[in-house]
Amino acid sequence: MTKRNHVTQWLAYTAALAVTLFFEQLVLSRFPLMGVFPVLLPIALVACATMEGPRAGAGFGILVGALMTVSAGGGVWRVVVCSATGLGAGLITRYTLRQDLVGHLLCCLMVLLGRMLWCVCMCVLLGVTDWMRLLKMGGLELLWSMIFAWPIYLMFRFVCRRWGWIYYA
Amino acid sequence: MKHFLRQNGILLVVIAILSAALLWMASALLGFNPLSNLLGIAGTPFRAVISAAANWIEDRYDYAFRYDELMTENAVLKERVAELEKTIRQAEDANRQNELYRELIGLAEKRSDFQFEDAAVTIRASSNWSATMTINKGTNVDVALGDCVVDAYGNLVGVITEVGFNYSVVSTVVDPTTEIGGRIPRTDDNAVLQGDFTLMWEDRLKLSYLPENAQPISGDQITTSGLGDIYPSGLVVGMVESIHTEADGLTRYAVVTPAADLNNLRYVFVIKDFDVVS
Repeated sequence: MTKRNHVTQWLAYTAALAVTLFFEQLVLSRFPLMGVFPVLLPIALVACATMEGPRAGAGFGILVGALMTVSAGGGVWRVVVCSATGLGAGLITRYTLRQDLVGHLLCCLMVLLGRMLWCVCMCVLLGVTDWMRLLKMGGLELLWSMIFAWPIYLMFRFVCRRWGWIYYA
Repeated sequence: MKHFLRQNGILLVVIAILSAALLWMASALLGFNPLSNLLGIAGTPFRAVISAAANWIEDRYDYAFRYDELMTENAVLKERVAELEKTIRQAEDANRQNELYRELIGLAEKRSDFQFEDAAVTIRASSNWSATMTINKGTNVDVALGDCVVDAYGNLVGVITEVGFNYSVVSTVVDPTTEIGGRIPRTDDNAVLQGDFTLMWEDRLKLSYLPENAQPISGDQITTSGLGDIYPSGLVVGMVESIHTEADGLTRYAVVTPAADLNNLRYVFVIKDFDVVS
């Protein structure tokens, strides 16, 4: 792949990420399921890491983390966590699972579960005692988000086939 | 995976440690996180674009699907404006009388004017775990951590919990981390306004630590108490919706509906400074 191909490839992935962000923030936020919104950016991150591998996943994670920081506020820790998530997802799908839909879904499940447990722990630290309500809310968020794991994977696979390494392989 | 880590593992670890150390040193020396600030500054134009696009789409959606509803709402609001104008006229009469009484018994004025800074809401974070919004003003106009944010009617929207050069993050009154002194003007009772996770999903907050002899009723207006002089007093927070007993069965709390329309705000005002003259 030439340098120009790389630039085109990453512009395409960025466009796919922008579409994902659009749906998450402007479309799905209007249709909560039992008061819960899905989170699509981590799924997009896992999709790119599944397609392109750990290094690309780490780099894409920096972009996703920066986007999450810009949209939701918060510190630069999101960038670090997203980059590490991209790196980990790329490593797991390449060397342990598979770089296909199954690997992507399993990795998404792990990432969303980790996110849910982190949020629940933070809530408990803040003094919330209604465990069942927290787990119910976290579980709904996970399920609602996993519904979109498949179409997001298809979108990123299209990008990879058209502009990514699959096209040039 | 072993081969990859063997080749690049140590380098990755070294890079991670050095980056973390540099960030920590920069934060310790400068007093703020430079990367967060940089991201915030760089992200402000993107937030503005996203906000403009979102507002345009919302307007088209409202025009296409909510025209009748908007017309009805307009008529109701016109009626309400007329009622409020009448109330203002009555309040002005009462104020004039109050001034006379104050002159008579020599009471000093307790409040002075707030110093406002207008701001636009650029991002409403749609998260299941917090209720925040980002506005387009920051330290460049002397907005600081802990400043209160109100809407155009003076209803409390939230408190600034993060501030950058040209942006600030506002934790709204229903955010679980919110804790402000509250007051029931009708009974002159003080309590604590707190966000609550379960109530946040219903856009409500909690009035806790009610005194034993407090008798709030549904419809009571709740304002900030101003105790401790951290936040200004008298800002309308909302109205009591219902009274409940805590799980321990000993204390009571009230569920409060916020007065500010947190989901549809476009412009807010930051109270940068206020004086309490005792």
